[in-house]
Amino acid sequence: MNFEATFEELYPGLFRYCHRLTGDPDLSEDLAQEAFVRLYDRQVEGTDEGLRSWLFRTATHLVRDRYRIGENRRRLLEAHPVEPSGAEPPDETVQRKEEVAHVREALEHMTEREREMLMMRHAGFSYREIAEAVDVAASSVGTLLARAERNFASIYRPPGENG
Amino acid sequence: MTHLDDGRLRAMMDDELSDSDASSVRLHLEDCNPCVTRLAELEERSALVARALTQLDTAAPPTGAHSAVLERIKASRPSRASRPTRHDTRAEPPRSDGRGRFSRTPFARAAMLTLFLGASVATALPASPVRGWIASGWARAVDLFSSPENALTPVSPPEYGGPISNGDVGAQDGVLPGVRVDITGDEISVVLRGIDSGTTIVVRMVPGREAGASAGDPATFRTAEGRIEVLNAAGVVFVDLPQEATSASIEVNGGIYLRTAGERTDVTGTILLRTTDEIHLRVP
Repeated sequence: MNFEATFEELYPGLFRYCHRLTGDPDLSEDLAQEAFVRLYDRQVEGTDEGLRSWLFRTATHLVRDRYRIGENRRRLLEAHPVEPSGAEPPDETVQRKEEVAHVREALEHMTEREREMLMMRHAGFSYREIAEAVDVAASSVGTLLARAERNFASIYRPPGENG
Repeated sequence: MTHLDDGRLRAMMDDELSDSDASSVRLHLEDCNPCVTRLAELEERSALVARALTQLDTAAPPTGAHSAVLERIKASRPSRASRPTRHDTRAEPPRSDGRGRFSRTPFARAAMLTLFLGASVATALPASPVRGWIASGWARAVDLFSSPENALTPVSPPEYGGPISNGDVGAQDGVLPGVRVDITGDEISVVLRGIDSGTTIVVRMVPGREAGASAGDPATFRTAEGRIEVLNAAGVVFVDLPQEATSASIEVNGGIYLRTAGERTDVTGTILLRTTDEIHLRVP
C-alpha cells in the first residue's frame, strides 16, 4: 500500500469527519492519526473505497470509545466556553461561536448513530458504506437518515432565526 | 393511493435505488402531488443539514500530521511487535518470494492469508494509490496458486442432512437481525444463497467459539449444528468466524469464497479490503 498517498488523500476528510463529530480539534487530530496508525499496524489492503470505508468506520468506533455522552458535554463546554468578561471578542467570532453552538445543540438531541449516519452521508458515503460502518441494514439507511434529519431540523434554528 | 415512505424518497433523492425501483418511484411521483411535496421537503431539510454541518468546520487539518503518524507508528512498534501470540514462531510474514506457508494465529489470521486478488480489482483502479500493492499481490497470488502444492481446489461443503431451524430474527429499527451459533466439532460452515449482486460480505475473525451472521431485510436465517444459512440478503452481510474453529468455509451462491483448513486460509471471492482480522468481499 502506498501509505503516504493514501494519507494525503484521506486524512483531511477523516480529520473533518472527526471534528464534526467531536467538536474538539485536538481530539480529532488524535483520533484521525490513530485510525491511520491502525491502518498501518493491521496491514490493511484494499480498494480506494474499501480503505476509505475502513478508516471512517475505525474513526467512528474510536469516537464512540473515547467520546461518550458525559465526556462529550464536558468537552463541548471547554471547546465553546462562555466568553469571559474583559476583552471583547470581535462580533464575527461571537456570531460564529453561536452558530456552532446551535448546530451542536441540535446534534446533542440526536442519537449517536443518527449523528454518525448524518456525518457520513454528508461526507459523501453510500448507503452501503454507512450500513457497514454503523451495523444497520442498507435498506434501512434512507429511513434512518430521513428521521435523523427530521430530528435535527426540529431543534436547529439557522442563523437569523434564533430569536 | 398508497404514498411512498420517507426512506424510499430519501433513497431516491440520494440516487440509491435500483434502476427498476427508481423507475417505479418516478412513475408514482408523476401522479402524486403529496409525495412530490414530501420529496421537496426532504431535499430542503437535507440542504439545511448540509449547510449547518459546514458551520462545524472551524478547524483545518493540522500540518505535520503525516510525520506525527509515522512517529506514532515507530513508537508503537516495539510494544506491538513484542505482544505474545500462541504461535509466535509461525507468525512471520511471508517470504519475499511469496511462497511462504501462512500460519494461523489467533491474532493475525490475515498474516497467513493466501490472497487471491481479483485481476478486475487492479484493472478497475488505474489511478489508485493502492494499485501498486494490488499488482504485486496479484503477481504473488498467481505465483502461489500456480504451484501444485499450493493450488486451491474448490470443494463444496457437504450438504447438511440434519435438522435446520429458523434463526433468531427480529431486531427492530434498522439494527441488523442475525443468528449466532456455538461451534461444535471445531468446524463451521456459512452458506449464503440468493445473495444479490453487489452485496458486500464482511468477514470478521472473532475470538472464541461462536460464529454469527447478520444482514438486513429481506434476509432470512437458518441454523444447524456447525452451520449457518443466510438466504436472500442484499447490501451488507456480516459473517463472524470464530478463531478457535479449525475449519471454516463461506459459500456464496454455490461458490466457495473463503475457506480455512489447518494452517491456511484461501480466499477466492473478490476482495475489497483485508486487515489482520477482517476481509471484505464483494458479490459480483
